[in-house]
Amino acid sequence: MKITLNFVARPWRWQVVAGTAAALAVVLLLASAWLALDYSDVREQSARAQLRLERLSAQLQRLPRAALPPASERDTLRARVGVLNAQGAARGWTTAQLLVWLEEKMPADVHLVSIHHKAREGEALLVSESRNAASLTAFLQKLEREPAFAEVLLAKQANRGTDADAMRFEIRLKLRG
Amino acid sequence: MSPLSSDVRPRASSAGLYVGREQVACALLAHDKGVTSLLATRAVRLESPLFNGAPTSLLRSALARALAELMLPIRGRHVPVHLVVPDALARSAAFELEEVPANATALERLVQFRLGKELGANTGVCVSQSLGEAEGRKVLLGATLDAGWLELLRGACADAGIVPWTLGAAGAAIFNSFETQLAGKSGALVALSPDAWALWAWDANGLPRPLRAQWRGTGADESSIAAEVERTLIAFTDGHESRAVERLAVWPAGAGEALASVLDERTGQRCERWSFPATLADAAQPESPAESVAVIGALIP
Repeated sequence: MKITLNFVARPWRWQVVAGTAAALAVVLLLASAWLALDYSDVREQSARAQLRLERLSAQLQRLPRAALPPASERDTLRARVGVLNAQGAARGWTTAQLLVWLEEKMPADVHLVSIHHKAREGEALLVSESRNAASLTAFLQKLEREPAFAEVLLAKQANRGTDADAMRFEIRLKLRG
Repeated sequence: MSPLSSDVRPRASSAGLYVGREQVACALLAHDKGVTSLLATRAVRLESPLFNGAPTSLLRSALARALAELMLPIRGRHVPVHLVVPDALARSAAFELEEVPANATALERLVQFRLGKELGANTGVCVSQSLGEAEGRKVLLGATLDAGWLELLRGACADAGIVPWTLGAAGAAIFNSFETQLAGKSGALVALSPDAWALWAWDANGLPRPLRAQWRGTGADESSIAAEVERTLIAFTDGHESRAVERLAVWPAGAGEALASVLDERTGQRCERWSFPATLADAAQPESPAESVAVIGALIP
């Protein structure tokens, strides 16, 4: 076992420090050379981009300039677009979709008398007639099974005319938004 | 051996300085591709003897002048310089402890206390090193150097433009030089310097223990040293049943021949004569023992 007793503090190993610094300097030198090469490449790319920009600017200058409509006309147009957007924001099906569904699913002995569709509220009121209660029940079951309707409510029903079985009824629908 | 000259400047890789009582010696080594070679050695006498009485500014300036003169060939070069002083100045002792304090302050206080007890004197600046375990206990090596003389050595080095890498006892440096050859067999080494002698023992695992360090007397003191070595070794081996001294060596081979002969007579066996370690086996023996110690100092890694 070596004896390492020492009455003075050992100085820094300057060779190691100098060697590390030299290695670092070499690395930095190489990095500088690489950056210099990269810089020349970037300069070429920049010159090409500048030329392209000038060409596009010239093309842009040559294009005919379309004058914008006056400010009042633009405001009117903006308001119309707003209304259309508001209408487009209907909840659930459109009236056309609702009619297509009724055409497909409504039993043959049930007749649609009227339809009032509030698209923005997502509600519809159907007034129909049927020959008997069974047809009404079948129609109601089809309505309830349809996932597009959140709620189906038989609002009113009454006998129609002299026929004891014939019925007129109102159904309120809530469509899923 | 050639005196220091400017032609060694580019080749010098390490320097050893021995600061004795009456002379200062320097050795320059070159380490090249795993080969160590001795470039030059030189010794100069001091105008006033050191380590006797109190340190003074006159002694400091005299030492600084001597150091500057010796180190002139490598002045301004980055060469590791190792400073070696007599063992009687940097005294050391080994302590067996149940537990070595983990706290640095507690360890320093313990070393200071134990060194004062072992060496029977006021301690100065203390340093320590844990040596591991032996005989079922933890062994701590401590050394102390008078604060005033340590300050003088540091100041003189600073005045001479030298930044020493290490400062330690000659005996420890000599032991370290041969450390790789020691394992396997216990033994003892008598390290002679011109001013002091030291006795170190080691066990079969190579664990070192300083046993004795004294200033040398004037004239032929080999008989008294040999008697003291014998007494100390008997006391050491009697201290524990596992202790033994299977080898006895004297350093340096040439200057220590008289002591080695006396020891041969006393022990009835021929003790080993060591000169330089294998790395410097081919180097010529310097002119003075002080230069030999400086060579050993320059070998410190």
